[in-house]
Amino acid sequence: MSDLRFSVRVNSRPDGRCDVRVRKRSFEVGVPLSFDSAYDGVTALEQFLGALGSDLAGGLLARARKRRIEIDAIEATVEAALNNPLAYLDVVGEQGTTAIEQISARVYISSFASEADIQMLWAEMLERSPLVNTLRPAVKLDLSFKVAL
Amino acid sequence: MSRLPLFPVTMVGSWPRPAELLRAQKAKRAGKLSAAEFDRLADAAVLEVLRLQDEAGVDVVTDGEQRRDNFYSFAADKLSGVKLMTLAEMLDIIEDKAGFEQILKTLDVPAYSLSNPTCVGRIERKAPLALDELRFLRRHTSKPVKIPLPGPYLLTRAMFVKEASRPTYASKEELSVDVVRVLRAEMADLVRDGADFIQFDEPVLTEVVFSGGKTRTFMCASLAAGGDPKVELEFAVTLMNQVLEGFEQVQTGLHICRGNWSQDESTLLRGNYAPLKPWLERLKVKQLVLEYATEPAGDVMRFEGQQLGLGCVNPRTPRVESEEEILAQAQRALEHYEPGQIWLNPDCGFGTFSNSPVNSGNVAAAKMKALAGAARRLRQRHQA
Amino acid sequence: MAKPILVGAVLYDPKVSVIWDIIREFFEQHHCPIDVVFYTNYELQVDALLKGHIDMAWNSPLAWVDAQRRSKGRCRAIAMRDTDRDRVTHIVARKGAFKSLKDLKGKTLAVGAKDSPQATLIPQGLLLRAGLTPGKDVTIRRFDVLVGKHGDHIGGELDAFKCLDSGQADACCMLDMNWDRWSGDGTVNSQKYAILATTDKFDHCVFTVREDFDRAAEQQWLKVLYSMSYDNPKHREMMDMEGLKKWEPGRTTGFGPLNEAVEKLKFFEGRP
Repeated sequence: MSDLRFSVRVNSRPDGRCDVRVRKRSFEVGVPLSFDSAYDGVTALEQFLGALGSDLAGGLLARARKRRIEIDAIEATVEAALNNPLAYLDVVGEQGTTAIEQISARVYISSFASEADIQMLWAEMLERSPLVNTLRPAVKLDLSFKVAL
Repeated sequence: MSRLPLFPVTMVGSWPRPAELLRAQKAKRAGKLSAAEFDRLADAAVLEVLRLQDEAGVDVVTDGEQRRDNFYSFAADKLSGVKLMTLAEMLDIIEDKAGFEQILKTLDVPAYSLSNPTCVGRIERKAPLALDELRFLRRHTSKPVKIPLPGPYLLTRAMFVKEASRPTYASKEELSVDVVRVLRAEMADLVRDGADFIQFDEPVLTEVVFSGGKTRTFMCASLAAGGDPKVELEFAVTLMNQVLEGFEQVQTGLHICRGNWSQDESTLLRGNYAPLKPWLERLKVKQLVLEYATEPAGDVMRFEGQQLGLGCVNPRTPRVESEEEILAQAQRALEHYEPGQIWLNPDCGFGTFSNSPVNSGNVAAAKMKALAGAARRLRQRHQA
Repeated sequence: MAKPILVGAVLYDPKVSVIWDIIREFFEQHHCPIDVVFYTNYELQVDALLKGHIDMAWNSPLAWVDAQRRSKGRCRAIAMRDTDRDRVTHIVARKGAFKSLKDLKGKTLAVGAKDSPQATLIPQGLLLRAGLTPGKDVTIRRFDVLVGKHGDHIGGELDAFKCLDSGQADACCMLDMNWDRWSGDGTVNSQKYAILATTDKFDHCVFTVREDFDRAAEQQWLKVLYSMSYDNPKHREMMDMEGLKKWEPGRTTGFGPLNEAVEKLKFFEGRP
């Protein structure tokens, strides 16, 4: 195992949310999981998906800079399929554990670069992404991109 | 308008833009290209679209909306008090993001690629919306010309983003007064300069995009009460008729579609025109330009007092409809309309959104050719 | 603080828990605490009610009938939504295809889940009244979406209509509110389809307690429930989510058509 470690510190708050501290920055995370489309926090699950999307978008941009390929914009949407959500709500009679079975990410790239160049950036990014490589053995990952001007 | 043959063939509006023009559009927006340089490229693209329409045998031509980013957001450049915002920017300011997310997902498009003209101040015409398009066409074709304009309801609904518009307009109703004023001024300009056909675009899709519907679920969905679209339809009819008042001498049309974003037909809104009928028939518009070549639109039905712009080729499919198929479609329309009341057009534009055209120029040209071929055969059958 | 009243509810979707959170909060603010216990199906909920694990159950009409059957009439219906009262189900068919319900003999009727009162059981009762035996005189094409949840989910009803629309059935069953909604939003082409027959009026969901539930607690609870007012903007969103304009007292007179149907169809045969 590597000696290189990354860590964050998480403090709970009276309102049920948490503060995450890392170096000189901190950010807020809401409840673990919410089914309320009007919930005004960012759930832990959503933060997790956001981290993956940022890994993909940021990773692509870094590869593009390195290769001097011009990209105008990247947008990633990440969606997780959650198994047994009713078990999370203590529904009597429900079985199984609440867990993500599949994550789909769709990445849109605005660029006039050739399809071959974009394809190369995509492959290089996937090969190097720490989150993708960590998740791959654990969940079904469905990752795709589309060039959209 | 010079005398038209029976079953006039026309476009709904847009045509796929060449890659060079798309690049120029982006560069112009980023301030890297002058307006004059952009116009030079756009002029060339319009001339090419005119040539293709001529070759296909189109009777009433458009400029393929080559100068526009899409069929309504271009208004942002021509109006003061309007800022072109990408949906990505709007997601930062609007409260209800769920509705937007849903639509982006369904359409498989990124938020950065869709731009909305958002009202951020009192709206006023800085320049006419489409007069430059008309004048250019007039100089380069002797054929009758159709000018598509965004409808008043669409513009009002799209531009009124309460988080951004409220400092100026308390409600979308208040904004609509100025929208109607702007469109009436535009109509006057276009009529004066000889537009033969003015078509207003009122796609139902925008209603869905901007209605911000609640997505929370009810205790027992089988009894959930649905929203009432009647108020909105009433609003739309009132605005449209206010714009049209006094312009009875000019040929006008209203185009309704159900989303023209991708070739995936399952992304289209489903349902036929029946729920809209009582409202559409009250419109003082001469022609309804409707989609009928796509299955979700249902069967051709009669609307009293208006001509039919019959959608009889699907702009989103790669397959070119045969003349026989178009004739069969026309036959279905003839069960409800007199020959003199029917125009032939595609269901919608071929490049509604400049950055995601639904077809190639080649297929578009072949489809228009098929329409014109079918029209010639219909004329032989029905000419007295 | 008073001991919370335990209210049971069946969840067909995790999102439904949100409205129950809001209701729980409302009762909390009005000093009548409740705890909500979720069940995966109505059978478990009725079990829990009759065994005294919960004080009250938000029951489907079929769960009400089942609770009465199993407790030998020892349950009480205490409150329901205005929208739960006087519903009907339409038998919908292609316009002009049939003159009366009797013409469905030898034809196919698409219905919802096997335990849906509105989309399956009550309309089959209507067939029996017209002298048609489901499964014998009329082929029944069933869409079992979320069985155990008594048709709370409209999916089965919608699938039944799609079956009719695709020509694989001659008629389908549709709750009045869905007919109104779907013909209004274009899901159902009202020029193409029409109502062939309509069931008697029936009542839908109902808050149910055992006969021996504490009357004082019940009265206090009802007082808070009835204090929800659609005219109060603070209550309106909650009531919209609940799908009602007004809470009404529970009544049992509206379960006749369902009782008749389950009896004739021997729905509970072989069950304890």
